[in-house]
Amino acid sequence: MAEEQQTIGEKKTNCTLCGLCRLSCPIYKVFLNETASPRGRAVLLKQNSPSRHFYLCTLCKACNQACTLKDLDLDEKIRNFRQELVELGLTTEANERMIEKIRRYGNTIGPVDESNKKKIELFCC
Amino acid sequence: MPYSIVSLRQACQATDSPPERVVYSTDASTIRGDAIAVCWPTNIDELQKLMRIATREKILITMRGGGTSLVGGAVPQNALVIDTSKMAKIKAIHPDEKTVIAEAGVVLDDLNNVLANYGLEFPVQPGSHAAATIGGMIATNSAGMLSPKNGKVEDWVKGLTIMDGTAKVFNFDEIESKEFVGTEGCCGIIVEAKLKLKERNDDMSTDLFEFNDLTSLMNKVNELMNDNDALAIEYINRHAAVLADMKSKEYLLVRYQGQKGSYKLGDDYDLWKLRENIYSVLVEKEYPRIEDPQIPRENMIKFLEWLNQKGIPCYGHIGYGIVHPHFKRNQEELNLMFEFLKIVNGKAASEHGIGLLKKKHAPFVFSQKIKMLKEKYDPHNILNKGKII
Repeated sequence: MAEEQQTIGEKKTNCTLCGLCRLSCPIYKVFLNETASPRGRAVLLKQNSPSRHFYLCTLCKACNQACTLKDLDLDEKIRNFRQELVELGLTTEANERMIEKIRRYGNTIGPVDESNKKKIELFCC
Repeated sequence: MPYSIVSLRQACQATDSPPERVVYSTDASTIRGDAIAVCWPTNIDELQKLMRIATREKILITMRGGGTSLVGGAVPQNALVIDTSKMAKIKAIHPDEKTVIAEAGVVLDDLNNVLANYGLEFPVQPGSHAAATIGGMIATNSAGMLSPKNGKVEDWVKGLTIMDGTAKVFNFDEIESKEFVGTEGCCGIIVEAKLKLKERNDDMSTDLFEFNDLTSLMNKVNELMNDNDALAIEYINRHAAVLADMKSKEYLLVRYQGQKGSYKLGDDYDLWKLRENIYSVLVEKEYPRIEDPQIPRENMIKFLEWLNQKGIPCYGHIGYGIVHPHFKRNQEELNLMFEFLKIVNGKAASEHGIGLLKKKHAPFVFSQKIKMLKEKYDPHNILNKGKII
């Protein structure tokens, strides 16, 4: 039996799910999977449903440009929800590796070869 | 219902992961269903393999194009969702005979962007043109703002390739195709379509008219209906206008062929954007239920006055007799409107389809036609089960 959306989950976004932003999203265009579209993320947000798809968002705001509502700012909602996900311990392996490397080596890449350090010349305009 | 994701993956990309199931259980309507899995065939062979599995294992199927249905047309009910987004090739363009062959998943705006290079366009433009797919438009027999002049999708389909509920493929000519347009995925899967095209027209302008009363507004509508240059005649009532931060007036937004209007093409962008966005504005302001009644022109004033008296925001393609009143959740006036429609000889459902939401308003003749086609093309009743009938 179908049920009305209002009865499910926490209302974290006013997105009307019209879907007109779909093709503006560079991530959706790659995956062609509704879950990777702004509307898909809005559905997951409305249902407070954690997913790796929140980390796929580039926060580029293209969906805001295409949005039929003023001030929906889905990217902000996604950014905030990521924070909640991290607090719940739901982060990505890549993020965890990066944080670990920052803690251990002070950078995001890994150990620096001190012997090569002098050979590196930096050029700048 | 026995099914295995492993067997589905033999046919094409498939998943039954929770986020996908949650997202694909919704569309643009207020209804939520239950997707058991999602598949993305990329061509007719993959689709056929998938349908053979579905037939063998009695898996219910819900087709999904742009997911812009306002009546739950793409909402599955314990069904496998087949997303046509990866079946989106424009296979051939024939500028001489003004036709195009496109797969079901091609998005209307993408199609028209390509056709613009040939000076052509597909002229039926529903409000959801940025996301609506050719397959979905054919399945629902879409209309739109340009319908007073250009008609509905059924007027522009020259041929269809259909896959039925037993994985058989049919190539329909224009007459056979016409019978299939608007069957909402209940009787067969639209694989690809041959569509008629029109020469692209960029010589257009716009006017916005304000009225204090509905009589002068309808006089203007009647005048415009006799004007060959009026391509689109859109109405916004005073209640919708106020919610969209406009003055409390009755409005007509008119698109002309040629330079008759005061706003030239480009300068009218904000006006049409306002019209296109009004759906979302009303939904956000707690009027989520949209309706699509069609009313004979002679009774239109009576109907619009009734809506105004009840304070119901409304807009729509007044030139085509279709308007879109919006209602709050469980608003009592919704049922009163259906009663009033009988008095003004109106139809309760016109361009959004029947889907799940409007089943009790499906015209008897249409339901009988769906039953008849379903017996022929979907004997196991796996295609869009529960929709329309």
